[in-house]
Amino acid sequence: MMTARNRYGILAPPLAMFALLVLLTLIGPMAWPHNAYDMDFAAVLAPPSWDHPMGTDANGRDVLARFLDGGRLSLLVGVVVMVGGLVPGALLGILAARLGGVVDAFVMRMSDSIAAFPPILLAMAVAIGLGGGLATAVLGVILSTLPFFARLMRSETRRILAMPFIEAARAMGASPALIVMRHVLPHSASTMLVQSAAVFGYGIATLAGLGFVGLGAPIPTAEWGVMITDGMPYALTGQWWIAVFPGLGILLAVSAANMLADRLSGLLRGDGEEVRP
Amino acid sequence: MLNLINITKSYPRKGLFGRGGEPARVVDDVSFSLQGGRTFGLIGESGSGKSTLARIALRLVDPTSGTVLYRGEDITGHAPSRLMAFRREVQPVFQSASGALDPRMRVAALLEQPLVIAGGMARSEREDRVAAALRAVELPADFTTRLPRTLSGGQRQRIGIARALITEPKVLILDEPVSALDVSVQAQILNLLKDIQQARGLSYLFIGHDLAVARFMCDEIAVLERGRLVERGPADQIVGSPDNAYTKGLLEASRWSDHRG
Repeated sequence: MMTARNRYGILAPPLAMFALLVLLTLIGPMAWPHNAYDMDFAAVLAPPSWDHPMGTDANGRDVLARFLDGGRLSLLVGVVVMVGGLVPGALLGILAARLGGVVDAFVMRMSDSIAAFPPILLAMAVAIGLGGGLATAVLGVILSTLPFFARLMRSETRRILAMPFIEAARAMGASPALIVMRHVLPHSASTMLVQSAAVFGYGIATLAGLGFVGLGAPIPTAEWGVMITDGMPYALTGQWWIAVFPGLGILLAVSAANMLADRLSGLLRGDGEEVRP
Repeated sequence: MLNLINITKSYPRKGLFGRGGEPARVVDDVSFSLQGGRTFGLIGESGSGKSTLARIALRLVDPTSGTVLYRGEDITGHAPSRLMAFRREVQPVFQSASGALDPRMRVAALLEQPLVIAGGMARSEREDRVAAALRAVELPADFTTRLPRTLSGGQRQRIGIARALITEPKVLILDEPVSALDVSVQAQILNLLKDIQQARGLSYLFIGHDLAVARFMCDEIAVLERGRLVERGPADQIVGSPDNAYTKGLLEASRWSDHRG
């Protein structure tokens, strides 16, 4: 039988990746001599070199400095969108499944109406309506993720509540709240985790799109999404480094999130434990 | 101990155009009572309403009409908060292969759950009770860290019984407790249930479809056919000289299964 420590060891690679990204973006800007906003017109669109390992952009700003600085904002935004969508969305889904009737119909029709908008348009509308800026854009993106979480949690809750051990729990006198805590949450955790990891990446990418049209992070701000949209035109003329490095950052962060969610859900299921004595 | 009086359960049957058709009667005017320290058997084929009766006796399902008395008290309309004592004293044992144990919970957590629900018990006392319950069903103490799917069918059913015993109940509702098990394991579990009953003076409501098993377990047997009691009496009499054609059919079926293996 494998020990608990062995089994949790598979979480180390994705956690290490996250730790690396977080450390880089927290400590990096202090250690790296270049500043994310200083322009050097003597070195515009310079390819990667010892002085500028990720090159410079059209304004002669050091891409590595912007990468380090922007990563902090992007990772934070991804986490905020993920948690901000998961917690209320899951709560609504549980309530809809548990209470049924009018509550269920209300939550589901609200979800339908939100999901009827293309997410980016919804986020734009909310951001504009609330006065623009990164915070309102984040709010808009969170709103667009609510239907995914609510619907998924509702169907998970209904699936789990129909399982035979729920009846056993009710026969022991378990309250609805206890059934949700002890049975519904553990059984839905793996599905919700995988969805959360997807939303983490979606949050970063959607805010990048909003940055492109001038919503979200304002233009000079270093942020991975803004940097990609900034660098896109130059990729066509050969200056690939402006967009590729922040893209690589998003790829790493999203892969780490997915890998973490996948392995964590495997552990929650008890994979790898002996099947018979 | 437990009396079910004139219990009827029907479900509305939806016709092709919305409402219509008369309701389906799953249980039709059934009465029986469970005596202290004795075993009452409800026997019938699947669809006869025996599991619905188990759920009504456990107050998981409300009867359409009729009364459930526990120790003389009418508990039919009681809210969950007033059922706490009943829940402690009347515990279910389900057919374990159907998943009555949460596959994510380890044995210790499964066993202590009824105590956690009842509340007011220190962790150390719960651990003592869990250890005692494992001993009572003759399983090793180190099973506490196991997940249900690492156990055999017989071991799982022992865990189901241990969980039912942990609140020191007075009545067990045994809903097909051995139907999912191999014949050799069935005998072990049935003997264990008998030993526990003798040691603790429990009352059993035994639900099953096999008259041979019922004769071994029960003092009194009632035979259910399509929601109605068609025959009842002392176990030996019902199995030894059945009057009813349906009972004879069940008996044939159980003889056949005896010769099968």
